[in-house]
Amino acid sequence: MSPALSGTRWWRPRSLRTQLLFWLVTLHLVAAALTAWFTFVAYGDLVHNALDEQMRLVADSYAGGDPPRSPHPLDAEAAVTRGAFVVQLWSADGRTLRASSWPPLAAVPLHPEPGFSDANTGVHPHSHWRVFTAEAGPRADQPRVQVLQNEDYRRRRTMRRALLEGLPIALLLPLALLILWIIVSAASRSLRAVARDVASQDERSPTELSLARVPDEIAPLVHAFNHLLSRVRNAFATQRRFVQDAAHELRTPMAAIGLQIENLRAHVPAGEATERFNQLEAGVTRAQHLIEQLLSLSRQDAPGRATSREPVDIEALLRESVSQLMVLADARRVDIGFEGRVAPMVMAPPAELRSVFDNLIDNALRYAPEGGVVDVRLHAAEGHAVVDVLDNGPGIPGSSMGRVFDRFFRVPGAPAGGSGLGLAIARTAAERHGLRIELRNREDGSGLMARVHLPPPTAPLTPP
Amino acid sequence: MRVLLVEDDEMIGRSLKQALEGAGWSADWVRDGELAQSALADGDYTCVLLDLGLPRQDGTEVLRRARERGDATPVLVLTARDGLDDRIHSLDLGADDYLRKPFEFRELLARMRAVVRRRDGAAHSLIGGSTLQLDLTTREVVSGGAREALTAREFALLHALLERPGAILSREQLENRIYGWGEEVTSNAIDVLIHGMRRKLGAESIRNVRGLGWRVVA
Repeated sequence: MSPALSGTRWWRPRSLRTQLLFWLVTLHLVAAALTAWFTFVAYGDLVHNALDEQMRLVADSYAGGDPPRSPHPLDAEAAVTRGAFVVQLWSADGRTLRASSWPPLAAVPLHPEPGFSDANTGVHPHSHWRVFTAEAGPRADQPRVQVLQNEDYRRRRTMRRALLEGLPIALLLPLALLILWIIVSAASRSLRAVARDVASQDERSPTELSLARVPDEIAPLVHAFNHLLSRVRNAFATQRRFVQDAAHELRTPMAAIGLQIENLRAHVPAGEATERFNQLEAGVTRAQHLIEQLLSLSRQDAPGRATSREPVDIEALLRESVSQLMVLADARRVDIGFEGRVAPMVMAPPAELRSVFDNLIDNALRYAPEGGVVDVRLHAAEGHAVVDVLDNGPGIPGSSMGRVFDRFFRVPGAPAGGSGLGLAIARTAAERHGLRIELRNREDGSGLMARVHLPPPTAPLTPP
Repeated sequence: MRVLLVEDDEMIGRSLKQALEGAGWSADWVRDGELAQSALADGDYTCVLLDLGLPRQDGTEVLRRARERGDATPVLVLTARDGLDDRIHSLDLGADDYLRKPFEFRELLARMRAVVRRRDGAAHSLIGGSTLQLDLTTREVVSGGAREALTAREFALLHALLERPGAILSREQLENRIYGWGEEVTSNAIDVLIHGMRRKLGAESIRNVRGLGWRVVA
């Protein structure tokens, strides 16, 4: 996670998991380091003191001897590598070295003060020595005793011991980190499960999220979300009722107007009055069409409608669609034709598929010139089934191409009595069921081609 | 021919009554469910036009009670709601047809004729639209007031096309309707038959829809 990109400070990453892991691992490492350090220091002290005590005992055993014992001779390996005690016996005045278990160490003189001290005989690593000088004996002729031990050996020994004590911590550390990682991951997995539940919601009929496997800390969030969902459901229900009521309230007066026009027909005198009457009738028909389109648009938007998917034979569906629109084709004397070369099936609610093709064919029939030609072709293109709806109307100017799917958009100067909603309705229904509508002006002459790409029959359709 | 019009909307009720009378029906208009109930019990109607959302008693209730009483008067439900459930429910309760507002008055008349015909059975054996009809008993075609006799195959052809006026029937569908099992059908048999019918009834009587088949304009 890059702090610069996420816009957060490095010590508080956006991911709770990263944040938890980061801080827990840091604390663990610091705790382990401190424990190791204190162990090291404590055991170092312990070993140091124990070795000092041994030096004192050795010194005492020589100082108390009468006649004085002569020290065992040592070689360099024993004195430096194995850390054997080097014993020096000095004359009572401390000037002359009478005996030494390792003569090369004569360079260290008798320390004037009794007790512990440190000595350095040179620069090389083995030249540091720990020195214990015994107190002078009660008799004046008694020799002075001094014991030395190699400091490097002592340090190695302390180190080994301390490391041994710290080993369990070092071994436990990776195990502790692994357990931490598992716990944090499990917690974030349950969060991801909630997220998956939310993501798989159908926006038109949301269902409550289950609290069964939600951690306590997240439960209030899920509760709040469920509460929001129930309010959304209520809003949806209100909207649905509104659409139903609006349908009723709009259609009733339209039906009355239609009947009154019918009643008037017989009483209209020939001539100019008939022409005006026909204009009135066309206007009413257009208003009725617009109302039906508006209602089907709000039905599309209204959520929660039970839409059952079933395998739909597209060829049969297109036949029905063309049959139903023959009234419009007859009225505009448009020659409509159908050509079916493939017979694809699509899983979708039949009514919604109908609204895709009805609107496209309706559009073609309206934009084709009076006495024009509309073709509906079901064939395979680029390896999949497509439905082409072609007219020989004016087509769509390039400047309007990007907007024709917008609600209420009508190509400027368009002659047809459309509502400006047909393509919007068709596209919404198409996208909901995995179909894609492509519009382009015909290259083989004037007119528009609307191509509907059907989803492949085997692929599972994406949920709406 | 008496029709009972049950409609609570003043505007629709008045215009519809007027239009029905203009079309030769005598119409009784009631505005609520209870009045409809008693009118149905007393009167002898050829047909009932029933709105669903009615004051005092819902249209579906009127229909249910009428059917319970054994009243078999043809009922055509008119409603402005577009719920599929309403439609199925009213058909289940015994409605003969269902029409959504707003409707074309001519379509309403056609549907009224159809439900009445269905109830009367063979007594009214004329099927078809306003321009072209087929008499099922005499096997004659009625066109512009004139009657003309038909051969068996011509009759079968028009019967198929006029059953649902406006419906498009494919060559295969027509062949299945006209020719029996195992009968040899030449590839242009249907074309020849339709050509002959057009000569009798006019070129526009049976229309071809490219790629789909033939239809009779209702």
